[in-house]
Amino acid sequence: MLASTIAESIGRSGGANGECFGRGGGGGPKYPTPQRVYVTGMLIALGGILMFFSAFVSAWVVRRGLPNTDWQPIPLPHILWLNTVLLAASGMTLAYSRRCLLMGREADHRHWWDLTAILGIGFLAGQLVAWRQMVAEGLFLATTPGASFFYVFTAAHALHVLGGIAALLVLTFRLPRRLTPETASYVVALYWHFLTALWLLILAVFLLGG
Amino acid sequence: MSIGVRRQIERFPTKTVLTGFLAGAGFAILCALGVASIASHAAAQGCAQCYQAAAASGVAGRAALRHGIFILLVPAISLFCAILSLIYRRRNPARPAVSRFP
Repeated sequence: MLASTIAESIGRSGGANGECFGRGGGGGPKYPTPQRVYVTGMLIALGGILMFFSAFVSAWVVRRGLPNTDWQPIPLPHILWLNTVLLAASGMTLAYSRRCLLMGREADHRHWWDLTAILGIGFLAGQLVAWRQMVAEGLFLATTPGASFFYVFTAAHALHVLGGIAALLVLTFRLPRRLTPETASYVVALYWHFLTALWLLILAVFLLGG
Repeated sequence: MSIGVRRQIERFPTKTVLTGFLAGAGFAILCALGVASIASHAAAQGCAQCYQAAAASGVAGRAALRHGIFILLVPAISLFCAILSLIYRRRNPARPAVSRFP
């Protein structure tokens, strides 16, 4: 269905001439809003999220660098590595899913899209396990400043991942009305790849900084 | 695969889009680093209490504060440069769309 809709939108907009993608050509304006608006909106949202996490990292650097504090390095749960692999794999499946969409392979697109959502859910489950391991080692939210930052970082990131999974599932069950499927998948992919990069950054912060 | 889809893929190959995105991001980060490098002597100690607290925190504390400020500065300036670049690229609405999306 998605593939046929995108093919239809390209055909309606005279994709061969490259005039306008998804704005309607001879058949009237099916998508009245320019599609790049959604891409720009997502980029601006990503900028806000980047600033949000930059503030966390900045606070972490200052708190860790202050002398005479009770800062102690925390042992990272080993399952974080598995979670990282899951998230990276989900990024790859999403990229392949988009490629299938553009090539008109609808069944493959849906298959890899669903697999991306499942891997994302697996990542969240892994984060829950990591928190339980931290608790089992006696590291609670208020135990040490390092543990506090770990919980705040991972929880904030997990909430954003939850939003990404919601977007993936929404697009699985319901076609967007104002976006072409290509735009919708592109916007979701932007968000998802950003979250993957963000997670690698968070992991690097904890690995390098302790 | 329909001809329309094939032409669409040919018009917007993934590598070209990725290269453009990375070039823009690299330009924004370079601009941010350039501006940040000349902003080290900015007289930003307007609050006497903050100044006293920073001065009393010792060498390590001052270094931590400097690093924290720098970390906040880089993404903020990168965003500023990125938005400026976006505005410049889309300065003429009558111009044919150069982005992937119209």
